[in-house]
Amino acid sequence: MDIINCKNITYLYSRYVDEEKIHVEFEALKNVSLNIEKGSFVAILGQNGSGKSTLAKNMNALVVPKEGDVYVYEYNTKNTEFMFDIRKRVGMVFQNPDNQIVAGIVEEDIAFGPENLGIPPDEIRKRVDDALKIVRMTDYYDASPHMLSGGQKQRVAIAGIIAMKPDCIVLDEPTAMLDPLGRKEVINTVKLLNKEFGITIVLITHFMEEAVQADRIVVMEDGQIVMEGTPKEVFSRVDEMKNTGLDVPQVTELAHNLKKRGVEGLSDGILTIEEMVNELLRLKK
Amino acid sequence: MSIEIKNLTHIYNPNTSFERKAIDNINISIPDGQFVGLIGHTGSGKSTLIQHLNSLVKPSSGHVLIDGEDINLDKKNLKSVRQKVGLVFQYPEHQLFEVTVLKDVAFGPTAMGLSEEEINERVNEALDVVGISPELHGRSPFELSGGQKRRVAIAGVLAMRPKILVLDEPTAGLDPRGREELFDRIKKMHDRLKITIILVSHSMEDVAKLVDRIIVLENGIIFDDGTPEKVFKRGEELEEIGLAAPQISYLMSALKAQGLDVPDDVFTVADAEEVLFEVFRGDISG
Repeated sequence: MDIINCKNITYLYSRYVDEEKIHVEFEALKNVSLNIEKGSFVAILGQNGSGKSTLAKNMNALVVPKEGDVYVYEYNTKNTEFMFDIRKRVGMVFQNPDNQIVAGIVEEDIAFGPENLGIPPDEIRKRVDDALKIVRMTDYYDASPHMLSGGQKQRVAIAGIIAMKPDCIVLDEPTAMLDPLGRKEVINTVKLLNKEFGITIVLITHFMEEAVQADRIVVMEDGQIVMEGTPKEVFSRVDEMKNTGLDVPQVTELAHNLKKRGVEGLSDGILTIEEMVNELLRLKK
Repeated sequence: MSIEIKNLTHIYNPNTSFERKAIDNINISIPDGQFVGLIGHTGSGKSTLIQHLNSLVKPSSGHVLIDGEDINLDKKNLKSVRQKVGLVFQYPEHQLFEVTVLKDVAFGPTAMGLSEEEINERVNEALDVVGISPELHGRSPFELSGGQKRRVAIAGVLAMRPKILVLDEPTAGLDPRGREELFDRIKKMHDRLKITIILVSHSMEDVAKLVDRIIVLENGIIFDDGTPEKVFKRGEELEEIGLAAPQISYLMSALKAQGLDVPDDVFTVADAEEVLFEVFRGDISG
């Protein structure tokens, strides 16, 4: 079953050139169709300006398409009556944790969402505690968010979304500002939400190693979807990915280069260190 | 220009309940022209350290010497110190404000009171170094792509002709091509201008490709200091302090652990390719 269904959507931004007030329209999305299956983990890759974030914003009615329709379950995002129903089901996490934390205490921040949904206090208490546990931030329940590391703040932001019990979370470059440990913490949390709690994940990222974790990868270029498939399928196309201005994981590139130079027997789309080690050991025998 | 950091300690909010030692008695000596990578997890003291380099924050104790001169001795020197040491903060494109690229880059040199001729020369040179072509000079900086905006912001600092350039996470949020282009530019800039560069980054893969030397900060002290080969060999220890080695380092260690005769101080795709090609070429011919 699809949780989100984008049907032939086109989105235009208006721009003004220089001081001359020339009005230019710019197509950020060009006739894009994409369905997100319930329970799946989809990664969206693409260069800056390829339309990834615009697509994400279309997924919970932050913006609505100029042409085409976006459905969250049966709700059309163009119908403002459904806005609450849509946003309750599809939550968003953005790049900069500092821009999405509103309260002075961690648990109050997490309670903000459910409070606005009109959830009874006892239930809010329970949801906040559960959310803290899932993102492993229980010890910091009364901390001040500005004393936390970037990875911790981002997990608080995710907890704030979890407490609204969404079916799907869209994360727009949630690790761009984090150090390696912070990145790992956030990605592990995202994987846990997907695998253990069945929450549908849409992850926009520039880190190919993160995309490897997804069930399905969608590659965008210039407002359109240009590639789609499992990580193995997509990352096998090393040259195409590089031409799109993207990358592949380092081991994938290494295996690809060795094959090109005549080392035979390596399979396509090696994604992890473990796979590469196994492949090379197999060749050695 | 050389940098000498002597017994530097920095304490935030001293004598309050929020007192915190961000930098704890560290010593670093960076010779003229070196390309240094500074790594450490969030809160390890990197930002505090680099803000000392042009006296944006002052030592609680200890000294910072630029070209042999203590920059905190005489307040009157501040202006010249800040011209010598250029700091590019995270997301520098947020500091763009002018209506055209040219005007934005000219802001620094104009404030320095230079002649118009000199300003033009510097602005054009700086934009050339970062690879912003002349047809973009008249455009609004806000019309450019993320990577271009960031390069314009860096040009704004370069136009002041600093002898030392400090870049704090210059590629955060850029896509892979944007990252590669910017790093390529930084590398060329280092070769061409022969300035000292300090690069703060969370991307170990990128640091590995560029720098001569890596300084690892942890809890305000120096955890390690040496060539990338030396530092990235300690992958597991780096992980314990919230960092990582490039993916290739882990691969080589794993292969070695499995009994394959490969060196474990290789950390770039290109080097690993050569090493593994040698190992497996035998199998092709034989």
